[in-house]
Order: sequence, then structure tokens, then C-alpha cells
Amino acid sequence: MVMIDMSMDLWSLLLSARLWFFILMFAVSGVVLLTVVWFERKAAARVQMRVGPYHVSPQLGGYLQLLADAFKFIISEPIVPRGAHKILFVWGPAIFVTLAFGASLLLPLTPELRLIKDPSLLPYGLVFSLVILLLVSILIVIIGWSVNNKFAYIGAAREALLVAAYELPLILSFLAMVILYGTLNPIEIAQKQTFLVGAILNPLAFLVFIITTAMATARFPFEIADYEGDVATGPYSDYGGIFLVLSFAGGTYYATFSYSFLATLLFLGGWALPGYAPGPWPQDITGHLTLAIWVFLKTTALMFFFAFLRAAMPVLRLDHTLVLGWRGLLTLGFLAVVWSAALRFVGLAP
Amino acid sequence: MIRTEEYGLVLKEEKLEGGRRVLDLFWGPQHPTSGHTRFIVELDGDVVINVTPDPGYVHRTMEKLGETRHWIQNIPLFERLSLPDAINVTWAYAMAIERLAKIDVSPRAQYLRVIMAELSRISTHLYDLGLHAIMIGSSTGFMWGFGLRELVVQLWAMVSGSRTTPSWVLPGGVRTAPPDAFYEQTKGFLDYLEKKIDEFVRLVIKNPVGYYRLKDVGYLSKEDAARLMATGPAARGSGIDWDARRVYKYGVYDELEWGVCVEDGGDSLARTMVRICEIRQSAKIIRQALDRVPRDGPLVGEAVLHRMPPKQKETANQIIRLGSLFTTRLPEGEGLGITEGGRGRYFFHVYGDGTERPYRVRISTPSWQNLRAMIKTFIGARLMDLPAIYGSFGYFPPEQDR
Repeated sequence: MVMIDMSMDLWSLLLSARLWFFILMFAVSGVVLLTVVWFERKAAARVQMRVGPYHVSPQLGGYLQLLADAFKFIISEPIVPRGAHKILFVWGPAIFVTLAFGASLLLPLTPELRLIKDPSLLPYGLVFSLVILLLVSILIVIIGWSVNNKFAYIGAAREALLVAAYELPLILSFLAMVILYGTLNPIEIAQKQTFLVGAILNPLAFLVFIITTAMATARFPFEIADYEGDVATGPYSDYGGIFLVLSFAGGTYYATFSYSFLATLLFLGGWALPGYAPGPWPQDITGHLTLAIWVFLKTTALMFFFAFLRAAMPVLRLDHTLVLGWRGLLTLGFLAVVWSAALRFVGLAP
Repeated sequence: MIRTEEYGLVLKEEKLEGGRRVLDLFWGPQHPTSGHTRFIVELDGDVVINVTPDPGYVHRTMEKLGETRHWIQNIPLFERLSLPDAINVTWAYAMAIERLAKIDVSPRAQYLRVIMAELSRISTHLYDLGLHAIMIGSSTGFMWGFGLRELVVQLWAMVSGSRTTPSWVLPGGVRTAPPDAFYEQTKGFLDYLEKKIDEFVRLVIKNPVGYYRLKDVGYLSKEDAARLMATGPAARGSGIDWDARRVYKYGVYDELEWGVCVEDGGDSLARTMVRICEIRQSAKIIRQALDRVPRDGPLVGEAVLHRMPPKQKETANQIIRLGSLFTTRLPEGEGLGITEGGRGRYFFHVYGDGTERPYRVRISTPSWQNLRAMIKTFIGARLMDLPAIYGSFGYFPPEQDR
């Protein structure tokens, strides 16, 4: 009896949706990041008349270069400058990457594969993931403050100005989609996009979300707080080794991943496939895994777009960006909300 | 506990009279974009209110060193003023020596010098455009600029045997003759260059982001450009129609068809467009010179030729050995050499006192001349504009400090 009980427990543990979700998110997000960084380097190299990473794993086209880089960074000596605030300087990057990646853990990967077990709590997960993502920029300000040099301060001040400019349009585009679907439950949101995805239903909101995501994750052309031209990577100017991996060199990519994951759910239909519904969890593992891969593919495609911007764009000036945020994106965000409300009013909303 | 009194930007500000506060930012000499020079930037919020240049970090005492060596040994020294523009620098020095010692230049060398000097101008412009692109954040522009410059460097290597330090222009002519392949490959390079420069303009300069980084940034009026003695693209970008090649008619420039590129904007965009236009004009000049250059004939003029031993004179159409020049002493007197480099006017003034060493060499370089104009345009700009202005002047600290 005892034996059977234990094996039963073991099976239910091994097949628990939470465990699978956790492993999938950690493992696949790592692979996605590896692929995106590799793509970023290779695509930029292709545009820029050079080869790109090659010598680490030449058979894979330099695919493992990032691992070699990360290993190099991790074994290098962590240096804390004398004037820095030691606690915040050391903990800042760790909290940075935790928040940046943690936000995506609150979203479901498929209807069953999710961390939040209680379905009635899922709407809160969606909102909280956005809230946590917006906290990342505060972490950047904290990091810049703890470094205690002029370049870092200027970078942190810029980040604070940028947050004010992109946060409202980002929330507005989120709000527009929520109004459009009439629900905050991510499972229902995915269901409603089975035939027409959100990006087509409300292209304005999608545009605003993409631009503000580029601003929030310091992708080109909005690499302003950590602009190398005048403030020499700003808040991260004194970071090196493992700290740099966790904040600038890795954390921002995790933030991009989380934003892209959120955008996939809100605008690209999440796991929705027309004419296909997976069975209940432990019985239909392959179905759920297929859908999870489908979600990851869309996320990766979005991240490819953000990564490719580096090869095509210079950096926009701070004041122009603020004007773009406050005047352009905010107006577009309001228009997106009006558009969604109009669709609901007419009765065309899903 | 966080001791907040130790942190924060306010504490790092300096209080001026009248309660105004500014932030002193030490921009350089160890900074990704400042180069080997320091600018003490005073900031009021995001706006630059004053910039104090602090040059001299790469001062190599070139003028003094020039007095201690044989005049022929100064050629490899002075080309290190500005390696991207090596030919134009050494040509100015060679011109000064030619005037001083009354050395004539062979017709073949005149054409070869024009070809190589225009390649040198293209190389400088690509170098500056590439650095300007990375300063405003476009890594692709940087790679294209340097990738194209790599081809120029290979052409140089073909002619002189050296990629970056050709030491090729001699008083009286040039040191080596280009192989036949050089003529063909240069034409191919120019075709590729013109195609790629169009792409560069579309990707970096006409890119909406890049356009707004350059447009109306760092305005230098025509009056200011003249008053502060700006030179090269900095002057021509402000509407001053002046080019040493046209004014002094050195080399064979007056026999060829070309135009001086002038823009009226006075901003970073205008200076950048002058560079682009000059690359196209240089290509035009090189094509004409390639058609007209004599493929055979001595590389140096009669004055140098008759000093050479007979054995070396036989190969004077291919290579000039420098040994014979070491016996030459400079006469008493002075000579002046002025050329138009990529960044502006190079000026060499050499005094001879009857020994083999120059008594005095006075050098004036375009970056030093443009410094005051650049500081003028910095003031009132945004902090993020500093790299965009700096790059548009093609400012080059090693050349400025000499």
C-alpha cells in the first residue's frame, strides 16, 4: 500500500502542470535567449559585412558563443567601486533579473501549464506581470543611484524621465486590449483570438505596445539611459562580471522576453490555434507541449524583431524621445482605447 | 543603513554666483567617444552651457622632433599626425621641402600623388563617417565605414607595401610605382564605394532617427566659421566655398574636372553631407587621373634623379631608394607646403639652415583649427548632441595635439 501511494505521489508530482511549466520556462527561455542573442549578432554581422561569432562551436555557426561569454563574465572578479552603495550595488542586478524574468512566470503558457493554479486568480497574474515589468525600470534607477558616479546618475535620471514617457502609453495599450476582450483572464483572452488576433483587431495598440516595449527594454533606437556616446552605458558604467550579466547583458534580454511573452498573449493570440483544443493536462502532454512551443515561437519572432533593430537604427535623442512618448504615443494610446471601445460599442469585439 | 547624504546628483553640482548650479562632467580622455582629449562640460540640466577643452594627452612633440632628425626621416614621423590621411600630410611636408630645396616633381609622380591623395581623402572620410555613425549609435554605419576603408588600405598596401603607414610621398616624387593590378582594382573599388555610400546615406543619414540626430544640431554660422577659422568640411558645411586644392592649384588638380562641395546648412547634417559629396568627387578625380597617368617614367624629378647612383637610377621607374637623399642638405631659406586633407588644410612651414636637419618645422593641422569652432557649436546643445557634433567635425586628437 505504502509503495503504491509513494509511486502515485511521485507520478502526480512528475506530471504536475506547475513543475512542467517551471522547467519549460527556465529551460526554453534560456534557449530562446541563446537563439535571440545569436541571431542579433549574426544578423547584425550579415548586415555589417562581417562574419559574427564563429570560433566557439564553428559547426553550429557560433551558436554557443554566448555561453562562452557568460562563462568569462561569471569567472571574472566582481568589482565593487569604493564610492558605491555596496548593498544595492550587489543586490540590484539580482533583483533586476528576478523581476524581469519573474513577470513571465505569472502568465499561463497553455490553458493548463501555468503557475497560478486557481483560475479565479489568473486575471491578477496578468495585471501583476505588467506591474512587475514596470518595476524593472525603478531597479535601473536604483542601480544608477547606488553606483554613485556622474555618468550613472545622468543615466538613472534619463531612465526616470523615460519611464514617465512610456509607462502611460504602455498601460493604455494594455487597457485597450482588455476593453476589447472584455476580460482580464488570459485563458479567455487567448480563446477570443482564435480567428482574429489582437494585433489585427487593434493595430494601434499593438504599435504602441511594441514601441513602448523597445523603450522599456532599452532596445535601439531607445538605448538612451545607457547610451554609450555621452554617458558610457549610464547606470551600468561601473558594472562588470556577474553583475553585468545579471543586469545589462542578461537582465534586459529577460525583460524583453517577458514583454514579448506578454505581447504574444495580448496581441498574437497566445497558444490559440484555429480548430485545435488540447485535452486535459496529464493525458494530452504532447498537445500541450506543441502549444507551448507555438507560444515560444511567436515570442522568439517578436524578440528577433527587437534584436534586429540594433543593426538598423541609431539612437534617438532624449528630448525627442520624450516628445514622442508624451505627444505621439500617448495620443495613439488614447486612440487605441477609443478604437477598442468603439469596437465593443458596435458589437464587433470578440 | 543607507546614508543618503553621500549620494545623489545635487551634491556633485557646483554652485555658481546667483544661486545657479551646474554639473561638471569630465568627458574624456578615457571615454568611448571623446578620443584622447578631455572636455570639461558644464551642464545645466540637459543643456551644455560651457565646454573647456583640455587637449595635449597625445602630444608627441612632433615639431621639436622634426628639428632633431634628418629631413627625410621626418616623413614617417609626420604621417603619424593623422594615419588615415597619411598621404595628404606627407605631401604637404614634401611640398615644403620641394619649395625650400628647389626640387622638381616628375609628371608621373604628380598624377600618382593625386590618385593616392584622393584615396587618402576617401579613407579619412570613411574613417570619420564610421566613427560619427557609432557615436550616434549606428553600429552598421561604423562597420560599413571601416569595412570600406579596409579596401582603401589594401590598395595602399599594394602600392607602398604598408597598410596604414605608407611613407610614400617623397620630395621630388613618390617612393614606389603601383603595380598594374592597382589600376584595375581601384576602378572596381570606386564602383563598389559609390554604391555602398548611397546605401550608407539611406541607412544612417536619411534614417529618420539619424536625420533628427544631425539636423539642426551644432549650428555654425558662416560668419562664425570664418571668424573661428574653421577649415575643411566644417567650413564648407557652413557655406564657405574654400578648398586648398582649388586655391593653390597644387598637383594636377587644375587639369581635372571636379567641384568643391559646399552646403549651406551649417549643422552636423551639412558637414556630413559635405563628406559624402567629397567622397563622390574624389572618385570622379581618381577616375580621370587613372585614365591620364603615364604608366611609365621616372618616379622622381630631375633634381633627385641626378643625385642617385647609376645602379639605382636604372630602377627609378619602379622604386626609389632613399640612401642617396641622405647626402642632401637643406639650403638656407624657408618653404611652405599646403594641402587639403580630408579634415581640412594641412600647413607645413620648414626653415632650413644649411644642415641636413630642418631648423624649424611649423605644423598647423585642421583638427586644432576646428577646435574653437567645435567648442562654439557645443555650447547650447543637449548632452546627447555632443557625440553628434564631435563626429561631424571629424575631430581627431592625435592630429590636433601633434
